[in-house]
Amino acid sequence: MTTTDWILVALEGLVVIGFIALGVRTGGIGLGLWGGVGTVVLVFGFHLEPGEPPTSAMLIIIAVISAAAAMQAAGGVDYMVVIASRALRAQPRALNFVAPYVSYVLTILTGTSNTFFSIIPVINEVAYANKIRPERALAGSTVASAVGITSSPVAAATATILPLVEVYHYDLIDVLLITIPASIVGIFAMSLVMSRHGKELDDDPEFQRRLAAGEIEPPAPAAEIELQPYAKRSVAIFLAGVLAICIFGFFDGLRPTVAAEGGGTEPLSITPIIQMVMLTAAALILLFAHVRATEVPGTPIFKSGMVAMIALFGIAWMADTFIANNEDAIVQALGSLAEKWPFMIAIAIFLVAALTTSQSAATRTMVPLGLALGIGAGYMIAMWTAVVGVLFLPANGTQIAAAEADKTGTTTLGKRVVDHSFQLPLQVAWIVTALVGIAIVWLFFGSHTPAPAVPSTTTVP
Amino acid sequence: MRPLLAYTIAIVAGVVVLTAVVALVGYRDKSGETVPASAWAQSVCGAVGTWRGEMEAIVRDVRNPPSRGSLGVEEPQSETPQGRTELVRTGLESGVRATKTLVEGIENAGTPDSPQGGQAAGQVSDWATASRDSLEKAQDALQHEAPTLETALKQLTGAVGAMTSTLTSGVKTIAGAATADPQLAAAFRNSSTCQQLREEQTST
Repeated sequence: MTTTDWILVALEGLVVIGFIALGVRTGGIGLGLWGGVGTVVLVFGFHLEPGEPPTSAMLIIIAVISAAAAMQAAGGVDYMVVIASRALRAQPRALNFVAPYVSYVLTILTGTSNTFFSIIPVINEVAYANKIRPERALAGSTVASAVGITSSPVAAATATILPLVEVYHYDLIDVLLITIPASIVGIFAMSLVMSRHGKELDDDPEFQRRLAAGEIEPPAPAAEIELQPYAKRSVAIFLAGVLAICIFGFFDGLRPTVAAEGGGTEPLSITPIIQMVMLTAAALILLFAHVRATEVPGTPIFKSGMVAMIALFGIAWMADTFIANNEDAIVQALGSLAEKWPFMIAIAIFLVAALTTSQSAATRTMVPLGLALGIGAGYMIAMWTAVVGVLFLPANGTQIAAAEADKTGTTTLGKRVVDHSFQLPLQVAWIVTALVGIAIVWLFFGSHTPAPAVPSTTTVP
Repeated sequence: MRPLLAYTIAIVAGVVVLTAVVALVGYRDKSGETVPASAWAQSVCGAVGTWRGEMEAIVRDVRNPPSRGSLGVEEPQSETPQGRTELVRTGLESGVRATKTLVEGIENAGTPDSPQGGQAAGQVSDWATASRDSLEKAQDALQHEAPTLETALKQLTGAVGAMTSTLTSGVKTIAGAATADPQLAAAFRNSSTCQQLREEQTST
């Protein structure tokens, strides 16, 4: 690439960052709208081919939000808040630890963070009812759900790394034996930091402003919540839907088969299953919990979900337009960095994931490079967990949905693009997870990852 | 100290510690050095095996492109004939990058200390360079927009063919190098990564 090409890439990158900044400052659907303007600038101004809008993620948000909003209309969210508050009565702050692990497990079982959408409203409401700063649980859980990808045997990124390390005798079990314990420790460290992060809700100036302005209702203690007659039923249907998704995600033999591209058949992917099951759950809630369809669009969950979807539409489309046209340049630049300074490989993986917003692309391009540079396969697996860097920029659906769900204003997408609520838990989680992973490999996988051979002689040029 | 500053310092410290740990545990560049034949065979087969896995991932991504804006979703997005060609072109670019990584891995493996070691290292290196050239040619062909569906199909078939032949010739080259040097053959036979590569080849 010539210097002019690099300048163009930098300018296009600045356009993307500029419009994300404008979007997060505007807030709400403004993020999506400014993302749309950014796409126009990239396509008409810089003549880039338009990228793909995030169709799958948007459809999942629609389906999940329909079910969650129907449950809310039936009083199910209130019921879950009451139950969760009772369970956490002795230690309400335990939510900051429990919620991330629940999100993590959901991702492990389904191989996608999209299942996390279904519990965002519940985490938010439980936190608010217990006067816990929602940012702590929501941001931590969002990061934990992304961390779950490298711990999931059914995730696309895991399928990508396995063929790369198989030759070094690392199979799926070995990979999970490194990533799962490391992630558990990483999430704990993150939750610990988050449980002390920020002001208490009652002392938060933005929350107090919103409260004084009447923008939000004060938190209602769980004991004062009046339950509706079919609330339990709606929760049972909703949770059955989530459970069904987890079962289909984990046991692909239970899924219907479809024609495979290369001939033969293959199990239907989990994404359309999430959409189908959640729409079905919404319909069953309407039917059995006696909710009128007209009530659903009026619920706060529905409104915030739709705003999140529009925000994701524009911002992810703009990001993909930039990435689809410049992925090679990004990978080449960061690959060169790692070649020059191999000890920077973990940071390079993190940055490739951040700038391409794709765990699979970061895995496919950076893990082989690290192996070629002489880094042991076990250590590369430990550092592969850095693909959670996809959350570095606030352009992912789960981040946008979590920020939108939190009406207290504590969970934000930031003002300067990288200063969002997810940055601190992200940094803590990936650094600790990678370090613990390296320690696990060093302690338990020594024979798999022998130290590089000592040369018998050194050739004098 | 303000929390933001404290967090920033802690994160930077964490990154520095991680970088230091990586520098300590796992990396050694052996390019330009003569290494035991067993270590050389281990590194070369490891690099080839990783490259092969990378190629499989690339082909899978071409068949089922991952979507963006969501995490861990492996669904294809809307497909158009133009989109397909673009995917294959992107796949080939990735293939070229993977092969460059392979060359890097082989260069880092050093030169085996067996009698025909220098020659074997040269053969494998020549193959890697030739593979990269053939893939780049296929990539260049794809740069031109196909005027008809028939031409587009030819381009795609040629691209897939280039990837397949690169894979096949790679396995042959390594087998050839092993045949020419008994000590190297023993090293290849005993290396765990080469054994794994052979098992994978037998099973496919």
